[in-house]
Amino acid sequence: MSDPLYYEEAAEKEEWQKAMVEEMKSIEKNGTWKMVDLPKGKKAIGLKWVFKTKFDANGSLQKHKARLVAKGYAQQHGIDFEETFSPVACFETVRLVLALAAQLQWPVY
Amino acid sequence: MLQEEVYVTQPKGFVKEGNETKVYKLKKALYGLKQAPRMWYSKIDGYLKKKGYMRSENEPTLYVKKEGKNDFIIICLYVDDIIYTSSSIFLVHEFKSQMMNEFEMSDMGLLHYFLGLEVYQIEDRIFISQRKYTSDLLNKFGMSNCKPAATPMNLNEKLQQQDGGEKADAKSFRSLVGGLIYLTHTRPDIAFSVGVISRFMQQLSKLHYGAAKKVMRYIAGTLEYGIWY
Repeated sequence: MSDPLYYEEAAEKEEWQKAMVEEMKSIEKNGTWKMVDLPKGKKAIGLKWVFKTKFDANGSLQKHKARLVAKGYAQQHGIDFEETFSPVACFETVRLVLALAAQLQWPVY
Repeated sequence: MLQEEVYVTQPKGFVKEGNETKVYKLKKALYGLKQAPRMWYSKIDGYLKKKGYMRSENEPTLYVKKEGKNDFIIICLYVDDIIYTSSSIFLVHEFKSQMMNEFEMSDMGLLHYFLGLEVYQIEDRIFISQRKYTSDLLNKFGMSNCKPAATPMNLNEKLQQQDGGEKADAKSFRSLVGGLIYLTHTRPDIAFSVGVISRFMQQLSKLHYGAAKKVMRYIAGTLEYGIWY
């Protein structure tokens, strides 16, 4: 079974319905947003549901995850966002930390 | 907190009755927003600095904190994945409770899986491999049941830019080579052959594709390989 690509597909399944309710609860609990009238001249960015069944390395089912994502590609530089930057450790750093931990006999979490 | 004013529509299936024309004004970032990674980073960076963790000058995702004379904790961020190691169980507990309280993080047990990397910690040694990633890669190219090869490359094979061979599917080749490059993180034994085949992204022929398949057949027979530290 592949993961649903669209809301309409997922809406028919109980497990995905539950996952979407979970995600909405978590968003509201975090105080992510506030309901307002769209001011004149502003555009609202569309949202999309993304569905993913999570498995562990042994291939056994872990959970159904529904994630709400903004269609960030519709954002315009200077209007909807100014700067972007993502911090990503290079793999060499990760390997270095692991090598050091093994050398010093430290546990890694 | 979000610096720009961003509005989003109500999500499908959760449009509030009577308020169908309203939208949400974002106070915090949402996945997919252009500023989401930056906001997350500045939040966690600010927090770690406040708590006395020092950021590395050369690797902005690496933080170290020293406690007393000999105790250290090292933290490595990868967006919302974090690995950390320490000489002191006290520093571990402190960091763990900080993260769980401040960022509602869960599952902070011993490291087993990180960015497709499988990690086994046994006494004073650590083993990393990409076994699951490798079998997924073989699957994706329909090579799960291929005949394993003993070596990743033919001896004295001379691949050339324009070998006049029949043209091959460039898109699938790029995806295959990309997959193999990611695998070199735990497989230095294929680094040379992957380096050689990655030079033929343009004008590739069936011969180049064959060389890539040879690497695939080699990893099919050596799924369990990885690095011991």
